[in-house]
Amino acid sequence: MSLLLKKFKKKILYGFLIGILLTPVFFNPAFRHPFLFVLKKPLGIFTLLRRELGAMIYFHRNFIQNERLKKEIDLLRFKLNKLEELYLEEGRVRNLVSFKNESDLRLILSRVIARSADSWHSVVLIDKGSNHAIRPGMSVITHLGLAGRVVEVNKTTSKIRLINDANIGVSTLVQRSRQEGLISGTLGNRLILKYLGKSPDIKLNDRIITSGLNQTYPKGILIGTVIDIREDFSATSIYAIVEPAVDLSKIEEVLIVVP
Amino acid sequence: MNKIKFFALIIGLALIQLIFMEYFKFFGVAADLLLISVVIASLSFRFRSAMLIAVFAGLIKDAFAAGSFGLNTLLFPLWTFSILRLSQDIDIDNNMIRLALICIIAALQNIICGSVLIYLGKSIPIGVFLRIVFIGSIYTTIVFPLIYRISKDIIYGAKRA
Repeated sequence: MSLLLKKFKKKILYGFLIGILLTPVFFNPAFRHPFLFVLKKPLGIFTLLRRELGAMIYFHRNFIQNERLKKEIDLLRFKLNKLEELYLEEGRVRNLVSFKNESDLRLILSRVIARSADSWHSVVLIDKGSNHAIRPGMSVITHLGLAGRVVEVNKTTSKIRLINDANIGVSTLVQRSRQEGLISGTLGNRLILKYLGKSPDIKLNDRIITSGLNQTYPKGILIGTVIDIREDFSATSIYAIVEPAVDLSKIEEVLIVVP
Repeated sequence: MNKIKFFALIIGLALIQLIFMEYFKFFGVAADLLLISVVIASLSFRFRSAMLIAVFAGLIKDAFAAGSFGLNTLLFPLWTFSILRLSQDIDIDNNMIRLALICIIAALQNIICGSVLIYLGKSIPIGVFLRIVFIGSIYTTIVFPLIYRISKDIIYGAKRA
């Protein structure tokens, strides 16, 4: 032991002296900052090396962990998406239910399960049929306005022709002026308000409602807003382009009006 | 076995058409997946099987359409017959010819369906009519190679395709 001490005596002494000299460097910021500035780069390189070395040593463990975390993220993403979908659905159904509770009409809540197989018809299939007291000819609405009419009923499903279908015609009123007209679909995102006569009382942004003249649609249900007024090519009458209140391409739940 | 797989494919395509194609509409027009399946069947099977598939696909399409029932059930076998008849006279194994064929058939299908509606007194604006005829046909043509590839994998197995 003493032999070993003798052998390293000088080195221990130098080490001790250097330690004493470096003490103010660590305690005095005036010395410490330049010292750390000098050491910053080598320390950075060493840290990088240590990290890379660690990555190599623990590669397999990290790889397995990464795979597991990826799976976990996928699962969480799926759950999050499901929750988001439930949240949105809950919002939509809440709107419809509150409308149903506040409305004087007798309404049946239903879900859209399929859409028309071709581009020539604007039709949706709902999950309720004659077993739920749905009959052909009943009008279909959402909390935003008129959506269409029941055209075919099976026991558990029904077919609804939406108001943008070319086969539909709804007797209407301009809410402000009580000007009568007939709405029909164009298979697009707009409706046409026809039979307005030569000088109708209609303006842009006028709201169009059902007139209740034919028994199919209850009076006063909002159909849409006038966005353009044009003259017929024969120049004998005026027609209006109406934007439906209901976004018919995104319809997911509907209310069937029971007369 | 292949025919059973193809019937399953038609049901799958019908479900996609009825539920998901709404989200893939281009200018309000969707590709006609069932028509594509009928053309593929005509290119892949013999007369009897292809006809059977065409009637089946037509019935599915008519069941979910609100128009005059039976129009697609009538038209689909007609296209099958035409393709099989045409294949006797010309070689339709070329990809470009297949694309031209599906484009023409889709256009004719749309023109006939639209004309029937107009004949029945429905007011379809000319712009909407042309949009469905042109965009519908082109969209169906664009989707055709993808469905054709998938169906080949299903009919002959992934290795052979």
